[in-house]
Amino acid sequence: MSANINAFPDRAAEQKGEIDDGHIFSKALKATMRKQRLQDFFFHKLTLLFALSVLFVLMGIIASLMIGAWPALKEFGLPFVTSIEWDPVNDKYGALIAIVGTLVTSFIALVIAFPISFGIALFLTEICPAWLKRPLGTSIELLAGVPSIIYGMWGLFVFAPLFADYIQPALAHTLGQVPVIGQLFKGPMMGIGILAAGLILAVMIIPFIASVMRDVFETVPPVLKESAYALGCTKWEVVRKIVLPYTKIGVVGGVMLGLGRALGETMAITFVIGNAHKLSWSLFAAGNSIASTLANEFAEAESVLHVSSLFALGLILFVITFFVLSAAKLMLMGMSRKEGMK
Amino acid sequence: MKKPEMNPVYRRRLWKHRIGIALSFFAMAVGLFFLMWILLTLVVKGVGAIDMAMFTQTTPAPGSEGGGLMNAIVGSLLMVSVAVFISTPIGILAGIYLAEYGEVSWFAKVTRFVTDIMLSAPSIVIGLFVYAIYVANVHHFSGWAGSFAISLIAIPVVVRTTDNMLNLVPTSLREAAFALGAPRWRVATFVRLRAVKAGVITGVLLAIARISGETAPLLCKSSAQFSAVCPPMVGKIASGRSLSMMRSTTCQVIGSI
Repeated sequence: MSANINAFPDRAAEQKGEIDDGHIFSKALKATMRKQRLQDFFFHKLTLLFALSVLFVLMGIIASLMIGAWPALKEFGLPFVTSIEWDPVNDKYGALIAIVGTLVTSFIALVIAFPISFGIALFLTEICPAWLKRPLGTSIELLAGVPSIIYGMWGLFVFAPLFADYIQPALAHTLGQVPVIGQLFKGPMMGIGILAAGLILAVMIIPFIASVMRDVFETVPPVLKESAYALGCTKWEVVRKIVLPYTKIGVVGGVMLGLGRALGETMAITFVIGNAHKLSWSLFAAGNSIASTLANEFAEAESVLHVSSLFALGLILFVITFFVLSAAKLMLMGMSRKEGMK
Repeated sequence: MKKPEMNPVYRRRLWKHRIGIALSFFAMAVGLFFLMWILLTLVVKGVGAIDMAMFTQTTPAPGSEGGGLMNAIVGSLLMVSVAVFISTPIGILAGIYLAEYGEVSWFAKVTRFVTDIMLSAPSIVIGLFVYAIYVANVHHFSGWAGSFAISLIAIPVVVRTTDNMLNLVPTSLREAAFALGAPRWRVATFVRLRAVKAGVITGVLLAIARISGETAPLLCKSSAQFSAVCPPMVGKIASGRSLSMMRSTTCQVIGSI
């Protein structure tokens, strides 16, 4: 007891010492804090600088493409987009063939890839047993990781010969006989061509669309699905009438993301599209896309106008993909906001 | 026991369901089929071409026998490592900004959006950009230009993964660090970043996997006369196909772990 009582003055003395120390300490503390505030300030500005640099690169890309494209756009004006002439010898350039080639191949790819990706996403989210989910998901993602040049070589050396020998005759004999769309499936069966390019693009974008779809399918609240099952819906009806309407925007966003990929794809297309500057009704014919034109001609372009026309093509491609990707991102963002609200 | 007669409506619904599920199985099979087909093609046609000479000799002039792909392999390694050195610090710091200061400012939102766009922007356009600002001014092609181009492709990958990973760190961990009096930069680097180190490294590996298979932007600018880079070479020499395949798949496997 007495020890405790005796302890009081000691503690008071201690406290006094503490205050004195604290006084000295607070000066040191202030200095430390000032230093730290300065460090924080620099840290903030440093990271801000690097974040800014990412933004600047995008603006730099747009600006440099515009500057590069300016001579061609000034020379040819708006008809550049609608002219089918592409004649390096006479220095006359028009972008229509390349634009049409890009759009048609991407469209074919989407038409094929959408149902297959939907099936894959459906399989991975609803049907697949849990232990298979990861390996199957990973293998689909592996498909996305194959470099595009491998797709190109595979398409040219393996796929195109088989395509010419078996699939193209089959298409020509069936769809080719139908009056109007038959025009699309006529012509020489070389294997390479717009249709082959579209098919290979489809294989390339399937993993992107499928993985986005899988992710948005998983955002559907289980309560909704379970209620539908409880009402006696079949699995197909649940997917078709509950999951799909709920994730509509996200699915469209995923498709647009795939479209953005398909539009910008270069090497695979360059290998299999045939690289011919002509416009034809037949999907079997060789064509050209914006990206394959760039890949083929950029290193060899001599005249100022040729280089500039190629820059103009690049600008067109970038603008198209920018809008497609922005739309996709905005849709997917709306999707995640909805998810956050629930 | 005889099965009761099924209501025709139910039967139709059941059949729809069965067809839908069967189509879904079919779609999955198509996906796996193409994956297997491509991988098998690479292995079957490429494995015979792998020998010591491929790694130790340079590519001969067209038409002559022998030789290897050493120039392509070395060129690829050099360019990818330079690109990684450029893109990793930039990507990680920008990612820290987005995660640390990004919740409030519209600027961070815009940056995040732009990074997402860049993530899938056509790589050939990035090639054009580097051509316009670098090659056109220096007047010769070089591996440096190639490195810049592929680091521009790698940066968005690193930024987005860093950002996503940092956002996974529990707030309580950060608050504990703040409560101990740590300044913000210390919390951001030594607590938050360290907690998700593995994830950020995965991001860098993903970026490596992406850029090492990148071809298009290099076509218009890397050392065209030396052909010192792997992917464009692959287009020229069929025996190189296995190499690019192996590299990309190994990177991918590492990346997906």
